[in-house]
Amino acid sequence: MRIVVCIKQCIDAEAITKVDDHGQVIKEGQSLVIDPYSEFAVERALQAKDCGEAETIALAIGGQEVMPTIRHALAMGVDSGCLVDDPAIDLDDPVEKSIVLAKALTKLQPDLIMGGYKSGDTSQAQVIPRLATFLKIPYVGIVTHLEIGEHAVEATHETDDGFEIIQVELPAAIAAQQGLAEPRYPSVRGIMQSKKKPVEIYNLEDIGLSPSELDHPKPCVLPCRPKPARKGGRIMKGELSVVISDVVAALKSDGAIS
Amino acid sequence: MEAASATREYLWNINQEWIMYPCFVFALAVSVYFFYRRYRLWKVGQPENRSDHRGQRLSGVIKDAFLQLKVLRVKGIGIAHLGMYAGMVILLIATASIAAQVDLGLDFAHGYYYLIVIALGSDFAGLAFCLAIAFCIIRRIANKKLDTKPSDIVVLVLLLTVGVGGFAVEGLRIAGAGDPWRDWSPIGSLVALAFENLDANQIATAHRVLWWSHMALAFALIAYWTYSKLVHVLLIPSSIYHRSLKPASSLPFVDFEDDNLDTLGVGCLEDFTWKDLFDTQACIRCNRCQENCPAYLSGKPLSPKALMDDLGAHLEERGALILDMRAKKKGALTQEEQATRKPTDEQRDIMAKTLVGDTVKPDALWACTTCGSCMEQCPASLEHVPKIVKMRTYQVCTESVFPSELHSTFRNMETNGNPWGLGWETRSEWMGDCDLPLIDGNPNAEYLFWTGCAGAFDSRNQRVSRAFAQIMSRAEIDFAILGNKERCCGDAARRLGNEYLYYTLANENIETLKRYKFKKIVTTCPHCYNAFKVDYPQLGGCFEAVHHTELIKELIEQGRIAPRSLEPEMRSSITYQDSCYLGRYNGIYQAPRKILSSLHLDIVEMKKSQQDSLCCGAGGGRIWLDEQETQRVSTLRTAQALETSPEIVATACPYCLTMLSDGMSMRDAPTPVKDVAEIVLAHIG
Repeated sequence: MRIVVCIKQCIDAEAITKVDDHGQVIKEGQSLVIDPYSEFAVERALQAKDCGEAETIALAIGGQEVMPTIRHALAMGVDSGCLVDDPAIDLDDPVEKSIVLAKALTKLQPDLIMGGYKSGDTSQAQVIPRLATFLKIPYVGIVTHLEIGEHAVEATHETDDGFEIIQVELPAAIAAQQGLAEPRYPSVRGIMQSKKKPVEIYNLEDIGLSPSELDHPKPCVLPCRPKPARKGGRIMKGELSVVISDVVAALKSDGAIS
Repeated sequence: MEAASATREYLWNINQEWIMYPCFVFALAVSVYFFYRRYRLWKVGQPENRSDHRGQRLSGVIKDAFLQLKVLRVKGIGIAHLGMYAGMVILLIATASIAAQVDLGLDFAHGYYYLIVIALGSDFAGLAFCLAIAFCIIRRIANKKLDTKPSDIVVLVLLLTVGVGGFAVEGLRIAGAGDPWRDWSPIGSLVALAFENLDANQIATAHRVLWWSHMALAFALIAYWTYSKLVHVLLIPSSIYHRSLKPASSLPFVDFEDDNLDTLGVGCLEDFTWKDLFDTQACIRCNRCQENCPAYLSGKPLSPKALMDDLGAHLEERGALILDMRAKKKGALTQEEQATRKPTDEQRDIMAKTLVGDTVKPDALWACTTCGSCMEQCPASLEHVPKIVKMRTYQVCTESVFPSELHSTFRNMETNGNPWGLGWETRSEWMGDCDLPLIDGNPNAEYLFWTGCAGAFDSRNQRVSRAFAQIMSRAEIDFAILGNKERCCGDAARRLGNEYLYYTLANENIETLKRYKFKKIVTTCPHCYNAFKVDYPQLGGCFEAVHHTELIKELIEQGRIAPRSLEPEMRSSITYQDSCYLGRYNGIYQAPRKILSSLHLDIVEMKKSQQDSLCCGAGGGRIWLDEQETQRVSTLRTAQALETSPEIVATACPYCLTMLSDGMSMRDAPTPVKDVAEIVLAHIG
């Protein structure tokens, strides 16, 4: 079985996030890491590799700056990497990225496609469902558990008030939610070996895509404003019974309870 | 009678004494055999040169083995051990003198030498020996914490029997031979009184029987010597001689540039060096490490003694099999031998045992704070902490198996250069409104103030950084900070076994620091200080590092800052927590104390201080690991601090400050915990 994990590089979650006039995250000067959701997918793919015959490939889009992220996946244990690097690709456009990935995936012929259901920086949750649509294969998102069979997978999809278990035939695209798998920490041996593992670099032509095929109506972010700073909490002091009734009264007056 | 002619009839009443010689040779041969068995076991380990600087090594042997200085640090048992040791040495000299006189014909065991050494000397030596052994037997029976094994008692009882038997033989001889110099053998003469009612024949028979039994027992002891714990007589001077001469906190250098690098840390017994394996045999299980281990004292499953014991037991069972396997590989065994030496199921089980997991429990491995107290207390100069770190290194770097909470700690250090994981570009925000010079604007500053992660990111320790910066500004010190270019020093990563992460961080820091021409680095963190002093030189980063207490002490001495003189009634009592990485590892005990006394504060020492100080519980990366509420080292140490009824607890380490502050909150104690710099600033106000 061949599993291709689409991985994204994003800025570190602890960094002070700044956005530009177009609502895009500014990456300049930031620590770039593997997107945590992509990493859950990588880990689940590696677990499949650990207990079977699966071949794992990490696929990413971007320039050379993305290489450390691919190497990270390789250090974790992924067999090989694949980078689509072409200046014609608008890296901030999820639709364009899903067109490119779909084409690259057609070339790689995977049985199972995995990725993060959203990314840690932009949280747009666009790429994996879109590429599944382009490839006309089943898609399950927000997956917290995955059983992988020879011809089908059984994915646990998290919903607002519970979960549903969905069985889909392969090939399929699965997008990981936190909880799918706890990513491993690469060993030094893994890091050393990752330097020797193959990473194919393609441009659009290599994957059989012409720049004109990327033309499509672009989604855009309208306003973008920082989250308002948290107001300080209220501390209730005094006798426990009094405090409890104060808290209840405060919650009622705020409309939190009726 | 002329004292010059004083002697006695050696081998009185003994016939066919020649039997003694083959017996002695046999006993010695057995002893050599058992020693060889041990020798080949520790040779299973990796080579390491521990024979350089012979003079320095010998002086250590003289101090800690021959003069027993480290043994004597613990009064009761130290003195008892001295009694045994000195008694045995004198008895040995007396016995050897008699042998030289009788067998080699050297004519000197008479006159004053006889009276003082052979008669009086050995009498007192024998008494000291017997009393000391009796004390030890009672101690072992009474003190359940000693984890006494039957073999411990067997050895002591054998020794006591030899000692008491010696006096009985002497008493019978004096009674039978009518020794004219009996006054020089007071104990023997006293024992002789007990035989007064026996006739000459009875005395002669009893003497002969006891003499041969005494000899047989002594030879049995010689044979048993190298098999039993008595082998420490040889192994401990040797372990002291082969001790590490490097700073106690140093760890083996791992060169990641080396293409042939295949093993990181210690994954199985034979990955240890020969000295590591030797240590497990030299351990006499005296308990001193355990009694001073913060992990053990706080109820965690680690005891440095048990670690040595378990590794020693693993060496006994695995070492021989490894030797067999190596012999097979070399083809030293004949085909017939190879066929008969197919591993049994039991042997397969032994080989399948893992080092961490089966032999050393992971919970024990991760409980160590690397405080170095075990090594400080060990009379044999054994090296416990490096063994633990080497095993951790293998677990992290090769197996990638470690407590899950460290995952984010390592990630945070990798991504943001600090274990908190706060954005690296916020590192210099601790300065707040203070306008401090950055090194880029003052590349030739005299001091580079290395803030360290705690000083930069932890809100409590940020106050310490600001206080120290203010002191330096007041004293008009030419200093600058590195700002956002500073990254974690890597101390915690290294001691948590993540050698690769440490290597990356340290190299980045060294590269950054080499770009500037400051003279010295000053830091408030003993862990960063130790990294600069001990760790970085291995990577080619040689910088002169100063701890902030050293600098403040100097500033006070030079009058560059002047603490206010307080009225006696205004003076507070203060206790000071020695940081392990400042005190035990780098010998800085006095600078902080001198500062505090110059502030006219009354220092009340905790019951364990300076070299015996108890760790706060944070070292060795433990601050990043979960700790059960009932097992917190900080709570233990806080209780010891509170016993001194201090008005302030002073620290000189960000970890100690955090841990003891937590300890105070856990105990609802209002006593403030402050860094020395904060206290100084308040006094120069």
